[in-house]
Order: sequence, then structure tokens, then C-alpha cells
Amino acid sequence: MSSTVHVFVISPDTRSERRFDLHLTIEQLKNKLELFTGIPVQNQNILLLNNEKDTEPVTTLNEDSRPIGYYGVQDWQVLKVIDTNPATSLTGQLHDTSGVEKFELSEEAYAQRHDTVLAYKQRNKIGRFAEKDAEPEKPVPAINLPVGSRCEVETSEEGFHKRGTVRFVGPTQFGNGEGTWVGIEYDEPMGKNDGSVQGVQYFSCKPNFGVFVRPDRVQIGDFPVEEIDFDDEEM
Amino acid sequence: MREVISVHVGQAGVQIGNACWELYTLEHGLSPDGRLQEGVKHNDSGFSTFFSETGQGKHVPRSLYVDLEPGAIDDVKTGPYRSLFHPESMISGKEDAANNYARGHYTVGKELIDPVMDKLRRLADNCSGLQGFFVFHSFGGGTGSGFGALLLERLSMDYGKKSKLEFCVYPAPQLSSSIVEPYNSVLTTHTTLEHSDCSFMVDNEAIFDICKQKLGVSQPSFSNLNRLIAQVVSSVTASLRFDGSLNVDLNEFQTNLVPFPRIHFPLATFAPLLSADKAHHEQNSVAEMTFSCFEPGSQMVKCDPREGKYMACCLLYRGDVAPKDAQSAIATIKTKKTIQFVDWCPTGFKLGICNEPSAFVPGGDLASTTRSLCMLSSTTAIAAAWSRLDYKFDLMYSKRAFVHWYVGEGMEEGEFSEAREDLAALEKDYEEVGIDSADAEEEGEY
Repeated sequence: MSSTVHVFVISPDTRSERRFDLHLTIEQLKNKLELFTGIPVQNQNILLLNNEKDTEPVTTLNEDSRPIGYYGVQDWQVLKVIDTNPATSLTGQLHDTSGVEKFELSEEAYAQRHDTVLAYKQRNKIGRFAEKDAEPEKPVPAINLPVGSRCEVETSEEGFHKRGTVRFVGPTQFGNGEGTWVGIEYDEPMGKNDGSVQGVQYFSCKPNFGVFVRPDRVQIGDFPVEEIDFDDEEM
Repeated sequence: MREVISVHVGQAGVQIGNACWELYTLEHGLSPDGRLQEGVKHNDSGFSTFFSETGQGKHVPRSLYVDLEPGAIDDVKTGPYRSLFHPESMISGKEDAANNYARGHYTVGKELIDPVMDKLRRLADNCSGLQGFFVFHSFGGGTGSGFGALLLERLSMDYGKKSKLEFCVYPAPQLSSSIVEPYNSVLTTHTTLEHSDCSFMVDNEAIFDICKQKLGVSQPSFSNLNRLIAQVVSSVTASLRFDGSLNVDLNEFQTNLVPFPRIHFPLATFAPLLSADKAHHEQNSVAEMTFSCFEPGSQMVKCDPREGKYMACCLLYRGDVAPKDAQSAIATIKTKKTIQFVDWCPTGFKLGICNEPSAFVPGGDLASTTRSLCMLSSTTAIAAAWSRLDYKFDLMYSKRAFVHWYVGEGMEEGEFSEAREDLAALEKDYEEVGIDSADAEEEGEY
């Protein structure tokens, strides 16, 4: 009753589901198939299969003037399009990208565009462009971290304390060169340095006992050195 | 009222439309001709956002079907839902777009755009407080890519302040359905990038694999794929169609999902993905559903979120879901190391619960369940999808393969490189959104 047929079309580079008018001639069909399989009309050989995995075709749609209907194509059968002369076409050459270089925009070219996330952030002074602007608004909170105080550094691990002594408070040359850093000598070697960063000595301690963090992560108070009680552990 | 107009463009758009409206009518207790079915409870009035009611008590979708060729729309006109749609809301041309963006966007498309905009104007005039448009189209097809882009440009001109959301079918990474998909996709993405507020992508290969591996369909056809896509669409639109106290409006989700105008491609995942014969053996608890939404096998686009960073996670629960169960599931998820957020994202998770469960579609592949979850996440990992497509474009363009088909339709070759540069900028945009986070980590300690 219906004058159209739904089929799967497979070719070396594509797989798709298509609907065709049964009155379409094989010549017209080939013209359509070229547009999505990329196989030139003159190279096409169209096999009709019952199933994608079949090796023996039901028939071959080889007479250009015949309509599709002539071959009794049924819904959900498979049209397998073969390229009889890949040397003259692009068949099979459009998958492996390893031979070409991917186009990337240079940092400069990206920075020159006006509609990007980067431009948006700069325009609206958000993200990493926010800091400079935000500082004048709120005066730098007074930092009350006297050198020599006992302190604890905030950590994401529960039940685990990073305690030590404040050894340095002030501006540094590392980072973005802004704001105040607090140098701490930990009680245990869970730091990152010996009080020096990038060749500049801010205080001195044993290697890996020193660390620099932002003031908001430091709390001062009565934090005695935690004794590690080995006796508790089962021997 | 907050009406939404759905526009379905090209074969993929129309066929996904069929699956969506089938599901909507089932969920709202409407018969295939748009009448309220007797004996079905109607406790909601929310669905007038998607349907208009005639004097005779018939509910007509606020939709428009457009295709440059008649085939897919003819199927609707002779199909089981033929009397649901207003005949004038289905517009088809006679000449196809031949898989060519240039034909859909320029030569053939321009003949059809004015009648389409006229019809949309009439649909819009019939709304008291039009909220916006949902445009359904494919990236790979000629009509979907070309005409879809033209439509979004015109919507942006005529309805600048209304929201414009897209559901797009992204080309399958391994098996192309047409050889020029990378061209069409890059061209349409470039054109629509500034006109679309939010685009939900589904890739046919991801859906295909779900149908095969999780739902046991041996040779999935479009109708299998589209019914699954419709479940996602239905979850996304449920908050607009149903009233409810824990319902969170899509706009609110959108605020979280789109941190910057160009970063507007959330990743959708869905659970449970169960076939009818397996459903009886599964508990499908809220926790299980939530965890499976973080598995790559439940994603609608193939990419690896563990490789990227999340900017937001929106969880759209439906059906029998207690808020405390959802919250405790989220608390567990938050402890996982593989789920990393950018540091500038303050809230991270947002959840909404729509009490109405999704409807079971007779003859569909998904089992009937009392609850489901659709997660929309904004993740930098989705940039991999662009990267893949861009690279394929480069391979083809380096050989100038098939470029003459486009130039033959009056398109200038410069549009190819312009579009490709814009997509390269989009890849950089995704790097840029991750940067703050990287900086902060470095800044943390010295």
C-alpha cells in the first residue's frame, strides 16, 4: 500500500536509515546515495541484503532505468553500496585523522575574539579577572598571625591535623605576586619546602617541614604538638 | 501562562517530535486525537503550556513540523496521531536539502522560511505569556543543520527576549550516517552558537549502544532511538508541564547549566535504562538511579566526565522519590573523587522532583517504572565531542572533499574556515572555564 520503503544503507564510510520512494529509479537512487555515502554514481554497485551481516545478496540493483520497486525491496532490508573503484574516489580516506594536523586557534587569535568566554570574563571582571577589582572594595582584612604563634592549617581530610608554627607573614615573589602569604613550619614533614620557594629564602627549617598558604586557611591558638603514640599500635 | 512552542525541523526533528508528542499525550491522559480520556485522572493543568485547548475540548500541540521534503511529514499525516496536530502546523516543501547545509540554509531553505515564520507568529499570538521555543533538529542532515540554523537566526531576530532551546542530534563518533556530517555540524553550530540559549545534545551512537546493550534491541531503528530520546525530552520538559511543589522550573536549571553564554551544551544522562524483562529483578532505588547517572553507559553523548570538571549537576527526578533519599544519594556522590567540580561553582548540585512519573509507552523498549531520573550536567568533558568533530572536519577540508557541493549552492568557501575558527574558539572556551580551577590549585600551597 505504501509507496515508500524504509531501509538501512551501509557503505564503507557510513551507516544510516533511509526512506525511499519505490518509484525512484536506480539512477535517481544512485544520485541520492552519492550525497551521503560519498561514492560517485559511476562507482556504485548496490547490493540488496536481508541482514547487515549477510554475505550473499538477495539481488543487485544494477539496471539504472528500473524503479526500486521492481526489485521487491522490503522495509528494513539493507542496501549495501560498494565502491567499485576507490582509487578514483575518497572512499576510506576520511576516517584516519592521524595524517593531518588538527587546527587549533593560537592564544593570540583567541584573545582577539570578542565573543569568547575569555572576553566575557574580562568584560564582566569575573573568574581570574575578578581579584584586582574586588580588592579595593573590601579592605584587606587585618591579618593577626604573629610570627611564632602555634597554628593549625585547614585540611579537607577529617580527623587529620596539620599543626605547626607561624614563621613568616607577608608578600612573596612566587604566585601572582599579590596578597599575603603565611609561611609555616609544620611539626611533621608534611610541607613542601625548607622555607624557601623559587630560590628565595623566607624563613628556614628542615626540608619538607615548610609550607606557604593563604591566611584564610590558618588558624592560630593553643595547638600543642601532637604526640604520636606508638604504644597504641598493635605490634 | 508560560507557553512553550516546539519546532521540529527535518526528518530527525520530526521523528523525534512524533515520539515526544506520543509520550506527552500518554502522560497527560490524552487520546491520540487530543481528547481527555475518560477514567484517567487529570490533576494537572500545567500541560496547557504545551497544548492549546479548542472550544470542542480537543487539545492541540503548540508545535510546528517543518521539512524541506514531504516524506517524514506525510508519515505523520497518515499515522496514528494524524488528527492530533493542526494540519497547518505541518509544513513541507518539495525539494530536499540533499544532506547539504547550504541547501537547507540558503537555496532551498529561503523559499520556506517566510511561511514558517508566519505560522510561528500565529502560534505565538495564541499564547498569553510565551516563554520560548524548543527547536529539535539534527546536526548532520541538510534540513536539520541548514534550515535549523536559519530558523534560529530568525527566531533570534523576531523573538530576541524569548528563550530558545535546542535538542540536537549530534553525529555518531564511529559511524557517520552521511559523509558530510562534520561539515554540516560545524557550520550549523557556528551559525546557531549566538542564537541558542541552551542545547541538549544526543548522539545517535550513544543511544544506539544503550538500545543494544541495555535494552536488548538487536537492530535498533530510528523509532527505538527516538523513543529513548523522547524520555529525556519529557524529563527535561516535565517541570514545565506539571505543577508541583518540589518542581524546579527549567529556567532555574538553565541558570546553573549555562555559566557563560557559549558554554551551553549540557550532557544528559538517564536512569533507569531497563528493558521490561529485567525490570522485575531490579530494585531501582533512588540511590541506584542516582549512581547510574554517573556511569558513562547512561550518557546521551559519548565522552568521559571523569576526564573533565563539572560546572553544575542538575538532577530531575520523577515519580515516587522522597527528597531525603535524593539528598542522601547526592551526599554519597559528593564524596567520590572521580566527580570533580570547578572551584568557582558554588552550589554544584541542584535537584527537582516532579511527582508525575514518566509514562510507559506500549510497544516501547523501556520498562514501566515508578520513578526515573534525568541528569543534566555541565561538564568540560563534552568539549571532547567538539574536538572529535573538528578534527574530522579538518581531515575532509584538507582534501577539499565535497566542498564543491556547498559552493555549488552559492556558499562562499570562507564560511568553512570562519565556522571552523569559531569551533576552535569554542574548544578554547571549554579550556578557559577549567582554568580558574587549575590556577587556584596551583595557588593553594607552595
